[in-house]
Amino acid sequence: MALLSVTNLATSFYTRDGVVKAVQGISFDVERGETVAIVGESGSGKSVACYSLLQLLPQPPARIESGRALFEGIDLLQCNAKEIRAIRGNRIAMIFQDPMTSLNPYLTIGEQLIEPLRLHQSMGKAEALIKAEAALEEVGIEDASKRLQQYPHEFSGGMRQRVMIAMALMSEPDLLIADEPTTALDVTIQAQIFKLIKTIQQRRNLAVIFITHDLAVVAQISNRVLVMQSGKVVEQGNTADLFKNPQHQYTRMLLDAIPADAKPEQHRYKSNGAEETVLTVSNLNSSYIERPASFFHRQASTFKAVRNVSLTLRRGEILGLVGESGCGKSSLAKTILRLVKEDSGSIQLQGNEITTLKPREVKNLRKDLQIIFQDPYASLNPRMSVYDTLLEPLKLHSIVPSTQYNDCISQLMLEVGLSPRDIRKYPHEFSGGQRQRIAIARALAVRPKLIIADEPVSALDVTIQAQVLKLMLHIVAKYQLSMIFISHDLSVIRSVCDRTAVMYKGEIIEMDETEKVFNQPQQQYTRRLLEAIPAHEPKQQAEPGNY
Amino acid sequence: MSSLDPSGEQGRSLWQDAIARLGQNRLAMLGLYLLAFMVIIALLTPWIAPYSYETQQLDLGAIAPNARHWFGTDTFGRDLLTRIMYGGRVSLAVGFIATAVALVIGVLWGAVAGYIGGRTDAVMMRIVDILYALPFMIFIILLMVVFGRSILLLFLAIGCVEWLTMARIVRGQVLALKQQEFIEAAVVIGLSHWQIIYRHIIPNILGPIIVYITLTIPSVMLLEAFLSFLGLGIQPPQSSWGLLISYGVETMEEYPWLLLFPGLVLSITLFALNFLGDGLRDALDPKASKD
Amino acid sequence: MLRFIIYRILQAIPVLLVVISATFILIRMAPGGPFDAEKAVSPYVLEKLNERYNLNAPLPEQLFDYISGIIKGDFGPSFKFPTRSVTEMIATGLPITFELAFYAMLVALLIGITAGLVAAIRPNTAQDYVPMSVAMIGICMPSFLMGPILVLIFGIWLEWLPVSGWGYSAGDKILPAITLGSTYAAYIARLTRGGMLEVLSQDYIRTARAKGLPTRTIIFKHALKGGLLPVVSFLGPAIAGLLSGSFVVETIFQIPGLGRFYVQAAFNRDYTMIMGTTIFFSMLIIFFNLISDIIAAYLNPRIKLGGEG
Repeated sequence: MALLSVTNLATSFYTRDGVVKAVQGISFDVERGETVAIVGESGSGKSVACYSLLQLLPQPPARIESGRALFEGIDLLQCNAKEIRAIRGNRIAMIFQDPMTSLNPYLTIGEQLIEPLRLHQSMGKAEALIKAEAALEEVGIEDASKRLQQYPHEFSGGMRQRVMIAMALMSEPDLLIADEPTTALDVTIQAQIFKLIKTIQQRRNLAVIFITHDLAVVAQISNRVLVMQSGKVVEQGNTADLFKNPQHQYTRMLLDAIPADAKPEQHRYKSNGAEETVLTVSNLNSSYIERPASFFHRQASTFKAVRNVSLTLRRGEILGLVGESGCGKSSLAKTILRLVKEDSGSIQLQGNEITTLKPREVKNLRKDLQIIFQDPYASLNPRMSVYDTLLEPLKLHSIVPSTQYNDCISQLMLEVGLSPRDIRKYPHEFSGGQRQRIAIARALAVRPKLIIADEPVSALDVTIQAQVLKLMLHIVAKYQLSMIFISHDLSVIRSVCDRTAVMYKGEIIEMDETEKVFNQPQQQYTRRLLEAIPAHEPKQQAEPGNY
Repeated sequence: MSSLDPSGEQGRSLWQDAIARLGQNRLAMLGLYLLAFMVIIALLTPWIAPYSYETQQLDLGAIAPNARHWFGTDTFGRDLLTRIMYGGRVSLAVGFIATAVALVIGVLWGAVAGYIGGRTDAVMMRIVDILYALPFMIFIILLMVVFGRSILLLFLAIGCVEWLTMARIVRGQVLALKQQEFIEAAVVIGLSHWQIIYRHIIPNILGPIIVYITLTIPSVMLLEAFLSFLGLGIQPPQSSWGLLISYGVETMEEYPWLLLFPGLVLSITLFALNFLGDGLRDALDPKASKD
Repeated sequence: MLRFIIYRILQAIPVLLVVISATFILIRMAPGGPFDAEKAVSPYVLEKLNERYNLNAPLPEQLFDYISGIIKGDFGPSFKFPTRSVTEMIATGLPITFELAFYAMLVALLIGITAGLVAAIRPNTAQDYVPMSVAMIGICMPSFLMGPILVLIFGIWLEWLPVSGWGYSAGDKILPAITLGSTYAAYIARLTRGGMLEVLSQDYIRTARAKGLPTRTIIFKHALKGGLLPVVSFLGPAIAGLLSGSFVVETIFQIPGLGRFYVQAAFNRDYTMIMGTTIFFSMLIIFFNLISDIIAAYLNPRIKLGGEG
């Protein structure tokens, strides 16, 4: 018999605006020792389904409409509050997406770790602390006895997720539900966490439900997959089979949306070395202020974010800039954009030095240099309609005579794949992908020479991501723009960039044709990054990397 | 602005959403109507007051509420309703004017500190911190004692106290906004500082400012009533609700209505403002209202 | 932690100096001398008085003398009651005001935190609306209205409790404490509710629930510390408010505390007394602000280290 057997689970939310059927009758089994991945885009109901199992959703507004969830013969959905508490954290444990916020900042790690044991096994404090120390060691945290006394803010993101895993495993559960446990982490950390979960799973014959939006992750970690779309399971089966032979159209769409290993066939740009150089950066250094000067610290403490960076960019070229969080890629972008003042070095745009421009002259520079940000929710002024947002740059730089404003805005909307009928709408009335399109239109409005795209698709669902990437490739080709494309996602970089630069601790440590970087990485760090990319093909036995 | 395409869909701005949400909040709307009623009465008082404000008729002294004097009369035979109406003019005026003083100073101070940031911000906010630590109630009393109880001074003194919180709120909002990517996008487009401030920053901090104004007015009115109650605020023959309450207390054993009616009117006004403020906060900041 | 305290104390010194100088200069700017209001005094007596109170010396020197006096704990003699020193009067009034403020704070914290917790546990139900509506009444019924009405109901009509005095008859401390504490109870209830709701929506509460912890443990162990932070930060301003609230309450209930002395001094234009109490109140408020900041820092492990908080 399966460890967990869910049949016909349905959950709805009763809100003031009506009933949202988040999960509509899903069924699946989980066997001991296996990993089942539930994959789907945001809003597909994958998390709601798992939270329903443990009755973790606030009721109201949530209501479990129907279904059974037999866990070793007990129907979880029928348990009363006391019975379900005896299972939570004891037989079924959970880890969550954001390790930064999932640990209580007011309690020490030790206090939080021993709670499951104290609660479910009535263990004494001293004994529980000894177990907690062992648990921290098991998840690879050194100096465990000292770490137990510390608070969450003294741990890094990856370390906190390790603590979460240790905490979930304290009372030796039979089933672990992992809700996007690595989404908030850097790619090398992600690889470590996967390896850790896998090792522990094998050691303890643990069943794992792995919720994720990322098919590449699924391929790497799971035995079986459930694909969810708008509250329904559209396809489930053995991971290898599903990747090889997807049945449902939506699954195929998801698989297609994974950035391919090689560049898409419509490779637009072939360098012959003769194109005009648009941007030349040489020996650029810049830093940001970590802590301003204060009573105790006479000197402001600064952090050197960009160290001695040189690069060139030709017309029509896309340069990928890859690295993990804190490597200085965004600082480099902001320095080029003159949002941050450089410490030293030079930046030339079409042969003109721009570091020495006077504030008055910077305004003209803006016409040539634009940016697209990561978060489509924060990058548009929520109180301005799309029309006003797009009108602003047109008017400011007198791009077209005022009689042509309306035509020009309509054209921009069409260009980015939006309907000109929607120009009176406000940002909150659009979806994330549509907002990113608006942001692209705003950047295009001034007809720039160079666009810096700072993680432009990281906040989007995979299928939307693919569409936005396509749009960006299209406009780069059409207008012969140059683009610096910043991302932490190597697969995305590989699918769009002509050349790729790898940044590490503020320096560009490697820069070459994209395929060269991916196939013959020169630097140890680059190799580590590449190894950490989840493989797109399912492997039953993931090779342990050299971390 | 010309319409691009008449068949195009009309968007709903956040303001329209907020007004719709406010309209659904019955308590807040009640507060709004009550407040509007009070303000209109206060404006029209000189024409609609049933009796003279000052004329004393000692033979009519301290009559309980009746058909001719709805709220009764005071010990000098003056109609209480009339006196409450005139007192309301002063109380509301103090509330609105002192809040306006606080608004101007606070918004300017906070916006400049938040927008410029860095060392300027540190110095400006340290000044606010220091002023915060001062016992302002005592200082206002001191001012009133030293310079005499003038209503103008009261406006200024109270306004000068209340701006501190406004400055903090505005600065916090501006700092948070400045990190939003759309402000950076505006810089990249090439807008000047002033254009960014009035096109992108002010429309986005207007919400919290409006909420705070609605919540400052009642606290200013309370402060005035407090001072007047102690006899350190408004000076007779001018009157305010606080002063009327203080007279009411003296005679409350014999003529309780002299305490109850002014107290009731003050409390209802404060209620109206607070409910409106809470409602506005919920309407303008849907995230905060989730709780 | 120690650094934080030292830093805050160092910061308080210039603030106090500003307070003292500002008060001093304000008083000296007052139209007319301190003895004008009384019946006419002969020039000779006036001269003597000025000499006695050192009013002829240059202003900076007077200020300096005054500050050095304060450091020694001497606020000078009272203008109004020349036989008594300001220090003496503060010493008689202070214990009473403190006791009143203490009871009021007790009322405020007990009622406020309980009501806020009750409301936050089941938001948007009757269990939330009822205490929060009462809290709104508490906020809109200022102490100078609440006090007389309580006196009217419980003292005069029902005759359950004495209407004035402090420590003369049984139960005469109840009404003043409730009057002074009620507004703050209402604020604390709202702050507790808001703080708890904020914390209860955090991810780590979900983690705690996923561990199987019962609601009681989640609220008292995981949520309360963070949820009460807004209340703790409010304690400093609340105590400042209580002290000024004591002006009214002590006047209504005829309690011989520091607040009533202050109001009387204000009416009598007893300048040295006003100055003395102003400065003394400032010191108290700065002190209690410091205490509330220290408690907040103690509760929040993340701000333990920094000097800036």
